[in-house]
Amino acid sequence: MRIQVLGLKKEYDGVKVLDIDKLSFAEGALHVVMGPNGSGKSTLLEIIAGLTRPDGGSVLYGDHQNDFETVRRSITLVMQRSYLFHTSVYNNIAMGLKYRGLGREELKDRVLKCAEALDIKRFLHRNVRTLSGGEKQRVALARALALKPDLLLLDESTANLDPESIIIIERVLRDYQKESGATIIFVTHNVFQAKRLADRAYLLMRGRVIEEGESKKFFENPGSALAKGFLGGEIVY
Amino acid sequence: MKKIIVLTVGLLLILALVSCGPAKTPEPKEPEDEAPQEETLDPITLATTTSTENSGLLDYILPHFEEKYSTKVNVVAVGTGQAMEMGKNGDADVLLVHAEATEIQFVNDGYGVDRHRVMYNDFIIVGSEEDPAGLKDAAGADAAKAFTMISEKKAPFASRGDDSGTHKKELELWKAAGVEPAGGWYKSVGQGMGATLNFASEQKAYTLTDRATYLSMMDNLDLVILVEGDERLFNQYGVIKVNPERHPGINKKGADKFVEWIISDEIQNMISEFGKDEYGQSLFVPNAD
Amino acid sequence: MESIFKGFQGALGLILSGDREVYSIIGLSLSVSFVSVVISMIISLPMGIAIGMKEFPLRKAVVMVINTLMGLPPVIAGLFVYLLLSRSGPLGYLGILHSPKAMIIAQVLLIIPIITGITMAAIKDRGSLVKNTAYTLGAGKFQMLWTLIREFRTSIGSSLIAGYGRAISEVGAVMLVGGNIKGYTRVMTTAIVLETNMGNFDQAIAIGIVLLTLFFVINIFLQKYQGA
Repeated sequence: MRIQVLGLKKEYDGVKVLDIDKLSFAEGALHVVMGPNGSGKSTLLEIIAGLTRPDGGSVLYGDHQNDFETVRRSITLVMQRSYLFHTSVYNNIAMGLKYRGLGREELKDRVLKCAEALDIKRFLHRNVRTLSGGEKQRVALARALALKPDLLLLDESTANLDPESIIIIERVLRDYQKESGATIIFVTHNVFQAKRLADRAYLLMRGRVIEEGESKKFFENPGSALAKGFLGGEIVY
Repeated sequence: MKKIIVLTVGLLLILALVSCGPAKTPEPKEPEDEAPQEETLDPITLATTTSTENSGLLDYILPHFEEKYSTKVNVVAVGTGQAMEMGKNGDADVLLVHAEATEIQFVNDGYGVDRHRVMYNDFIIVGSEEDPAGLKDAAGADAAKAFTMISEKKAPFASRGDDSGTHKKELELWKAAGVEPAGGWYKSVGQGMGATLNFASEQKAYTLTDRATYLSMMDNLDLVILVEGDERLFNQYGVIKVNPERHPGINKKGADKFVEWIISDEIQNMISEFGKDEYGQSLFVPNAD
Repeated sequence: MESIFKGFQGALGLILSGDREVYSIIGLSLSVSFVSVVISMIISLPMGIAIGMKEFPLRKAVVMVINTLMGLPPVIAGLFVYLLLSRSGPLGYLGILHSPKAMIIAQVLLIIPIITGITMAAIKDRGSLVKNTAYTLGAGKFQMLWTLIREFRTSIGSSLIAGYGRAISEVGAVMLVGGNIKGYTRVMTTAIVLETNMGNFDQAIAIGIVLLTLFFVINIFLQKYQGA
């Protein structure tokens, strides 16, 4: 699903959090959005996910300029520290499928596949409160992938996780994207991770797009001074 | 699994609701062609006093009426004051109380259609066996004298204090004795006859009570009869039809039939029989006009 | 002491007596309380969830009012409903004074603030988080409500227990609006008052023990479900 952002503005307490003229996310690619804390990346994702309304501007979904309600169920969001329901791993992964009224057999099939991909099959019948942080995030991602979304949004979803979980999650994301042709927008402040994952990369600062482009060019030869500084490890905002 | 248990319990409780509460209107009987059938009445609300209900008389006679007319008499037992108010507000169809002056006023003011005498019993003065005011020996059958003696001795006295028929009678007697009862010895309980008798028993106080309630509770009380027989202790019961023109929804037919029934010879006889088995004496003397 | 032992014997006797009137009193207590809690739940849960999560003008005032109403003296609710349903009152034409319906209405008024208040407080901090998670997983409005209730079932369960406890122990309001009519609006609590006033302490204690037992049993059952 292609995403187009036009004239998007958002303010909190008089501070401009987002001010984006034009931004496009092409269909079928893994996009990574970077930027220092407070640059508006989370807000951008929240607006695309439909959790927050912008003060001005709009987001267009897909080619048909569908209104949000029709595409809502093709989009899903995984947050930094995802909320898991007070129940088993199995029930968590199945939750979105239950909302959609999926039949028992197919539901089970999908849950098992996703659990396997994220290497959490052995936890399926445990209550989520017994899991570690990394295991919990893997459950959250399994829960999202079970829905086979056209647009998958991730907000710092691997921050502070153990290396094994990060490896598994990154691999699963890449595999999913290739197999399904879905669009993925991944927000991170970790430049190395961005280099590993991105097809296209974007840099946000103070709510504006500073730099964007195809991955190779973005990282090796960024245009703006701010981007150069950021990618070089300086503290810029 | 748990969901099934909850649903089952829920269903059981709903069944309880459906089966245990009797429907306000029972099934009407099929009219026969031959013999003239007693008609069916809608339920009647009878407001009466707590002492009347506590005596057990209504449990004894009402089933006869309910069977005859295939109906239910919903008895709400409160103080005379509240019963009269219920009549004024139209929350009862018929009243059965014992406060003659108030009843007559009620009808004259247009709240009631008419009033009939039904029966009487008498009041008695009871107290602890110790009898600190010496009523047993000195008061005889003179109720006003007894009250004077109680107030002079400042002996504990329990008053209904609730505007009931009993309370009004008590106030009449204080008036006759020329005493304004006040002070720590005079306790206004503000409850029904049963509660007041219990209180008097606990506190070893004197109190004025109707004979019927006293007899029915005697075994559980530490009180004895000290004064009885004074004409002024006469306690007349009256039945009043609430004026249906003041409130839509009053069961006029039911009230009419009820009054007709309770002053009929058959029921008047029943009333005089009540209590004979248990106490060896009638509790009420029928005197319908 | 002897009274209490006799009371236990009496309680057992009552339950096994097969006496229709006794069963009517017990059954009515249970059913009136149950129906009151269910009706209150249907109204209070969505209300409590909405107030707990949304920001709206006057929110602070609403929260304060509900918290105050939680402690409303029951007899005042009874008086209010009585005046409302009396034939000379605004809803007199319904003719439901002195009936179980009136008793349910009075109890519902008392229980709604309790369930709403406790739910409100529980939802306040994490309600939005749960709602948003459900939203991003594609939940519809009812599904979101159902998910919220499931996720907060411990607190909600507490509120139901509190509400039910209030209902079954209620005396003053149900006495006023029900009239304690034999076989029709007499419940365990009002029967205890009547028996005590008539001096039948044995009977009163027996009913009291039945009431306590049922109260504990149902409470324990509710708590087990809460922990599920």
